[in-house]
Amino acid sequence: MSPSPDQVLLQLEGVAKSYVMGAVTVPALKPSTFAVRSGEFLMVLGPSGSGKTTLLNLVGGIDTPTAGRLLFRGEDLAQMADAELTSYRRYRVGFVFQFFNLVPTLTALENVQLVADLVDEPLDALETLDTVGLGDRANHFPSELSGGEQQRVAIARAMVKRPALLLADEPTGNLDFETGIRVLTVLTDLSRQSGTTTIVVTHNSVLAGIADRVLRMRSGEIVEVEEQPHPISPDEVRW
Amino acid sequence: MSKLHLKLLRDLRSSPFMFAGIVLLLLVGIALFVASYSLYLNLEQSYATSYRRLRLADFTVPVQSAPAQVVTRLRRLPGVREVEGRTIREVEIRLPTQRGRKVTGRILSLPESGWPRVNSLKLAAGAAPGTGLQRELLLEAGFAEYHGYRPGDTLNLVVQDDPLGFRIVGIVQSPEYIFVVRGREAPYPSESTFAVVWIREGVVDELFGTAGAVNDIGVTMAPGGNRRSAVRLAERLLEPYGAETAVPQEEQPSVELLRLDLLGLQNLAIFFPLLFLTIASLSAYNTLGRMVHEQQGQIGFLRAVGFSKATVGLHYLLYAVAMGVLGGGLGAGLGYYLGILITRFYTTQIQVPYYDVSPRWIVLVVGFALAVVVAVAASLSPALSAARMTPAEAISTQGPTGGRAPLIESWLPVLRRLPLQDRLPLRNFLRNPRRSFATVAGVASAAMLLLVATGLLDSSVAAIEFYFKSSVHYDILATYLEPQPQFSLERLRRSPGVRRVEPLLAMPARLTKSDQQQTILVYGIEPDSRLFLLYDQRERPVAVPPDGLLIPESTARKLNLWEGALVRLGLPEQSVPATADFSPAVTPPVPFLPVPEAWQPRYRELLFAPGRASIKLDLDRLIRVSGVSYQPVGITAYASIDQLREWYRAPLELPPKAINALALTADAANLSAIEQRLHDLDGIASVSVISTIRREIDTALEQAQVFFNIMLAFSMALAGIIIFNATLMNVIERTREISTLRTLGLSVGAAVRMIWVENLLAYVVGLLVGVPVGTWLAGLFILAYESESFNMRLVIFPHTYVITVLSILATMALAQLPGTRFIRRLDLAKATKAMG
Ligand SMILES: Nc1ncnc2c1ncn2[C@@H]1O[C@H](COP(=O)(O)OP(=O)(O)OP(=O)(O)O)[C@@H](O)[C@H]1O
Ligand SMILES: [Mg+2]
Repeated sequence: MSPSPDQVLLQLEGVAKSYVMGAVTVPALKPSTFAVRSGEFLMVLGPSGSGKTTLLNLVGGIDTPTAGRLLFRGEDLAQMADAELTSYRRYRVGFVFQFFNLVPTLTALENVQLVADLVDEPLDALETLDTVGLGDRANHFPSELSGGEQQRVAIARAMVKRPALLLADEPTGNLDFETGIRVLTVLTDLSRQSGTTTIVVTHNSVLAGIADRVLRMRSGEIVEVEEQPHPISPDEVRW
Repeated sequence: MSKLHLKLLRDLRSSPFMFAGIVLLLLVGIALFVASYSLYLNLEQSYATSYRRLRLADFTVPVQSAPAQVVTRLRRLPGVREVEGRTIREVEIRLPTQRGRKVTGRILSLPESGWPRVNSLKLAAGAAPGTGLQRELLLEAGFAEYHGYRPGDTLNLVVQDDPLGFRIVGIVQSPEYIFVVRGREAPYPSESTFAVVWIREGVVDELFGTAGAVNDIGVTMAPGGNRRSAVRLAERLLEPYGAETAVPQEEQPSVELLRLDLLGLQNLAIFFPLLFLTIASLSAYNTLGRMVHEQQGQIGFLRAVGFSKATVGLHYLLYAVAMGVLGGGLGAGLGYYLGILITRFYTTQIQVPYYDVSPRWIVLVVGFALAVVVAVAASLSPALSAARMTPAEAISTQGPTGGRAPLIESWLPVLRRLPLQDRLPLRNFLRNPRRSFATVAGVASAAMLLLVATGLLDSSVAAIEFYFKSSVHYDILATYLEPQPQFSLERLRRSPGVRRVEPLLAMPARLTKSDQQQTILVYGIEPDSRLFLLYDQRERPVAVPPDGLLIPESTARKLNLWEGALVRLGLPEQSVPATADFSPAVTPPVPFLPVPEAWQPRYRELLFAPGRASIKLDLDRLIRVSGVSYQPVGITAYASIDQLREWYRAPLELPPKAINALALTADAANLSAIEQRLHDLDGIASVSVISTIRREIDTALEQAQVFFNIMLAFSMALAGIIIFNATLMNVIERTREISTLRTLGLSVGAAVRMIWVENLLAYVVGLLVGVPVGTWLAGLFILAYESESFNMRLVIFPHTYVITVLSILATMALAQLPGTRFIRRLDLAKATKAMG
């Protein structure tokens, strides 16, 4: 079933990315066509090096494709100048990185506030931290937080500006199973409650069940898109 | 406060050494600039104020003798404000307190009442002389200070062999003698051997029979008056009275020497801080660059999350602004106080009537702005590179970079046989060019700074040392009142304790080539002289040429002469007071050489016959330059004594085998007895003991060295900060790497050793670059400080090199200590935690 246009948040048309390394060209993402629907929780699965991060970076506007069109609500990201891309990232996208990328010299709360200050109508920073279960750790510095806590700060930081699109690259990659589930719960709750379109990259196929749709990649290609009409909640995930 | 600013503050706080280092570098550079430039302005303004308030003559016309009434006619010249005529004579002064030591006294006449309208005086103590014919005088403050004279004391002036006691009624400072020199050829303070006194006109006339006549005419110009035409008219008007070329204010010896001194000072006040700031900016560039590199992950996040290029770029520029503001503000403040201190110290040896020491706002503002500009300029490129980073790349840069074995390992296969642990430092050094460059540049700049500062010190010491050790081999130089036949030395030769006596004929000369001319003293010495040793430009000993003239380097340069060239030899325009002093720097008491009192009978006729046309002594010969010599101090040309006698015999009516001075060496034990004996001898005009002169020159040198030493202190501080910072940063920046190695099982000792070896590598490269470049730079700075009568060669003593290298290595060792402690205390768990 193809989505109706008003349901499409982001349309990829033949989007490709390749890196030129001297004489060889590495096709990180082969030409792909795909639509991200408004409000869905999308999971991207694939082995290491299959192009997941590349895809996410393109969608998030922190990288530009070498071919194709990337339409966000009808506007082509590929054609945007840096200033436009910056404002796209600022007002539309929330990023959660695999390595957290917290500012080490700012506390958890300050890290969130730093991002909140960027937009006009952010959520309350402390409440957002509360949402991810870290209200009592607001004044800790990243080095004083566990990996999972740092990752939740990173999610709070992405949430706080109420983005239309939340992107998470291996948010659980560095976490143990339990903590990973906690983090995913936060993400799914956010998606279900506020209708934020969420794309989560992982290479852990066990997690696939929690998504509305699963996109599988191999060698820079989208090989399969699977609909899951009845996703399970993260705490139902079992090895 | 925005959270981005908070990040900035926290970053600053979390690596205090790094930022404090840069702030200190800027602070030191700016403080030095503000202090030295304020000193320059303070001095310049103080001189200008003194000249203005005491109505220093805009030009002076020395004449042989002119009727006093001529002044009235001069006053009517267009553009002229005030004219004053006076009589200037030089006499001998005996200092009863110092075993009858003789010094030169210059008498300047004062108007019958009141103060001079031109070249006035500031009373520092006592009162003005009375208006009658009492034997009272005003004494110049430098001399008074040096010898401890106070109002009420008596000074003995020897006028026509009669010592006459004069009461000192006042101590004065004069705009003509702020720098107490007798002439341009003695460019160091001579307040110990040269007394300037002011006596009422009536008394002077009575002493010398000069009633109704003057021999020196000073003129001040009205605002907007055309000096050039006034000079021309005055010279024409005074021509019948034996007028010489007018001396414009800027050529007055004290004024000129102060100006030259200021020029050197200004050069140093600009170039030295410039060097400091260049190095500070290099250091700021490195630090910011390393910070941007370190924070790539954060920058990636900031850009990904929607901060604009400009915001990110400005964020990093703001670090620079913060450091600039801090360093500039503190530096300007410190420089201001330092400026006052140095000015005070600097002026202890000169007599400045009016001080104008005030905050130089423009310097403070320029200094402050300079700090900000330098800091911002230095961080422009790192900030730009931060802004330009593409978020995707910046974020993904988590892993290692460039992990190949360096080429050098394939060039030097020996290296490959070392255990990997020992190869690691070399690999690290080559792998991270940015970090290695920062350390190398830091060490090289430190070496450069130290060498430039010590180069100035060493070279000035070496110049003086060369002069006294290599050139001047006599203990005493004495001059005669009249030319003597050479055999009069025989008696002296037989005196007990005297080892060697050599004859000397010293004659003033004016050398002319095309339109350039220079007045110079020529020493005629024996061809086999052992007391006057001469050197060529490459500092190799040369003998005095049998014919022709050996000229000093500065003369060769000024007149564009070379060995074998021809030059016109003449007598300087005779001028008793203004150019009376042709003694070279190191023989101060040779007071009467150009127009000696001894030849007065001949001149008296001219001097006391107002209105008679001047009779020029006719010496005009084309002579050959037989060589160019190196003399660090003074400007003296040399010829063989017979050659000089031949040139001067006819025009000056010299006796055969004439000498007018002698040099001798003696046993140390007999030296003061011989000095006393010479003083008592008839016909001796002056006796200079080299050791005394050496002391005086050393004192004068100390003043110049104050400035050099301040530079050295600043350089050492700066070098220390740079090295300390670079070394410490090398450790701190690598927290994660070191803790990973530690986690893998590397011992603390091995980790410390690895860092030590790596730093040492950078230091060796830094020194290899810094030492030659520093030596070259020192040469440039020396050029800026050279003058006509003080020629330095770049000399850096071997021990200076050793000390420089050792102190840099010592600073490195010191800087390792906190680094080592840091490694020891490393919290492995915390440090290895992913911090992005
Ligand atoms: N900057 C780059 N230069 C060259 N090749 C790159 C670059 N970034 C990624 N690649 C290549 O593109 C391909 C896809 O990379 P990508 O990071 O998208 O993989 P991934 O699916 O996210 O893998 P992982 O699960 O390990 O994170 C890989 O083969 C990688 O080597
Ligand atoms: Mg990836």
